[in-house]
Amino acid sequence: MDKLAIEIKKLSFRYKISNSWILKNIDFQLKYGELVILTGVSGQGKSTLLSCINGMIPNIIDGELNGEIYVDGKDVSNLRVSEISHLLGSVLQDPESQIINSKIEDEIAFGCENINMPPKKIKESIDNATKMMDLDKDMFIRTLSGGQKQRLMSAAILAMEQKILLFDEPLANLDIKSAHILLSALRQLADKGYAIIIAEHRLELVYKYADKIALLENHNLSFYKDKDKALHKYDDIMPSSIESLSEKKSCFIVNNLSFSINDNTILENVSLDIKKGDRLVIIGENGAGKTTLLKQLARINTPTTGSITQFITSDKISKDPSLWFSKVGYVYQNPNYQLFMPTVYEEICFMAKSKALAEKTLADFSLADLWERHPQSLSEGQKRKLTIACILAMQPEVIFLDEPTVGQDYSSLLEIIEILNKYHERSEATIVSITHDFRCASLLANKVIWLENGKIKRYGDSRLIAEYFISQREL
Amino acid sequence: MEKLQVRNPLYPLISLIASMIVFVIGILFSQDIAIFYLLLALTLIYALFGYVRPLSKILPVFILISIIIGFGSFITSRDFLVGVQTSGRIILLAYSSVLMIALPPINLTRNLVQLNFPKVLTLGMLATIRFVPVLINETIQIKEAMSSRGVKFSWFNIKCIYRAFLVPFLMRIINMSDILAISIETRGFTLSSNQSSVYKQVKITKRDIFFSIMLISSLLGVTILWIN
Repeated sequence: MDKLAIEIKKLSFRYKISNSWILKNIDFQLKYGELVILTGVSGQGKSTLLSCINGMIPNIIDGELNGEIYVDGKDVSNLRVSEISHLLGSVLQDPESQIINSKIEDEIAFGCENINMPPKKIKESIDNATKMMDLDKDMFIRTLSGGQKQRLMSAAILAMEQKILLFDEPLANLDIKSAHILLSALRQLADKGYAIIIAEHRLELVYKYADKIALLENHNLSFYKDKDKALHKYDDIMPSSIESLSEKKSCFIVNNLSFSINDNTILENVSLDIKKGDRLVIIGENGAGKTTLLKQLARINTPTTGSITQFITSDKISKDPSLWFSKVGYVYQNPNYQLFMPTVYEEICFMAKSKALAEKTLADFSLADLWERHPQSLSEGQKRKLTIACILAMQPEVIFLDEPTVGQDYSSLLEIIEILNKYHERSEATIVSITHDFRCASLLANKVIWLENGKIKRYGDSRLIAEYFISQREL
Repeated sequence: MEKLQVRNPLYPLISLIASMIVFVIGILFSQDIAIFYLLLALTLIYALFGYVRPLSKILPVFILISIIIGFGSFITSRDFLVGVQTSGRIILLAYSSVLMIALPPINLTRNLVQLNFPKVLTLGMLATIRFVPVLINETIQIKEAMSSRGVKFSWFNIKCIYRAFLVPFLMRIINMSDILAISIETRGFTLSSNQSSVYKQVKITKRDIFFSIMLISSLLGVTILWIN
């Protein structure tokens, strides 16, 4: 009988601080040559399961662990993480925090050096991994976008050439093109005999590359018999009705806006007219300048040349950040930056129009039970919901959202979008969002800006979303 | 930081030792006119070995700091010469540190690994250097995010600094350190094993020896001048 890549027998785990089991009697087998997608609602234990396999549990994270885990036929219960890393490669979330070198080549070499790979072989591995992930090994990491950093961390693991690979939400920061680059590379590796597990929410992107789709639900793991069925729950997702580009009053007029850092031009001669009540979605590849444009509109950064005229409030108010940001809400890609009060309740009350509204908004986002918790103690998904709730409780006239649904499972994603759209219907606020998620873009947009290399490539209605996503798939 | 790095850096350990020697001997000369001869000699050597560009970039900052601190020293001592000497020491710091600032940190790390220095030292140093720009970036991000939540940033508002700046900042740093520690371990790093390779070996060259001879000769020359 062929040796299994991963074999899990009767695995149960609960965190030290928790009474309930997050994983219960899990049985799982992964053969060499298989690519398995691990899916499930946030908080059901996908990352926990991967942490059990790569040894982070129990070596680094405390808790009660029962059952057996075999990696490449070896019992890993008594092995350290660094020893297990010789058998399998793990790509973790939050690539920004994992980088220690200044050049792509050195960062990729780091893992290879640690496993005592000969220099000649390291060079070869770096060349292969950078080619696979479409990266230039001579580039400095500070010049990379979030998506490129995500690809870099994948390349750093691929270069170590372990035959078993674990990926924890590797598509979180990736645009469609980058996601397909990574997924095709992984499919090719699986076809060459690698065993791969990907924990991911964006099923519509990954399912066609997978051999099997596993669902982690109610502490148990099961497989979809027909992997296409995993997608059925998305059938009801259709792009929102195409609204006509009616003549409304302007909210922002952007005139020949350019923005550079040192010699690096990020935005170049961008001109557009954003109308009041628009639901504008900015799309484009990693590094196209989407976040920069959003920050310019929100007056967080100032343009190098050109101008942005706002028609929301007086110029005097717009120059006072505390008054300006009571009219304009900005939700960061990383929620950790925006949470600082001692409890969830105080956090949402901080800028809320009224306490009653704050409480209602917490309930809308299913966060009411957590009102006494410290915001920084929440899960990443809950933190993201809380930052959006804090902004909505202010009842702003304009909302800027930078990747509002990253890392959210399907039901949370729908919940957020529904609340945002209801708020829009009620208040006719202008909503400007950035997203790489087709489902999110389809449901949040009536107008679309397609950015490419810092310039507007296309500007149009929501039909542009399908065009963009199809073009990315074809690349 | 990368913009200050030179294309062809000196052997890392020589850079480190030279940097320390220049500072120590410079301090000895700092109360004498000989310090200016030393700075002149160092400028010529740095020009020969391609270090003028990073020197010219950091020198204005050090000169500004030296003027401020030198002026403070003059005010407290009421002696103009003491002020000039204090300024001279700050400028000397620029001359001694430029060799290290212009060196890619990975070269020093690899050099120390080759020489069997403890891994905790080499990786710790690399992570610390890497974290400086990260911390600057995090500070900017949090200040921007505070502003976006309607908090007026002021270093003098202790409550605001504690709640809106320090809490997210510390949480972020702790979080990043945790992830980094896990990441390096999942990438095979361990303190207990010496089984690791060096991708690009750092080797001593004739250029490094020539630099060392020129530096030692200059230091000896200036010392003789100082004694006389």
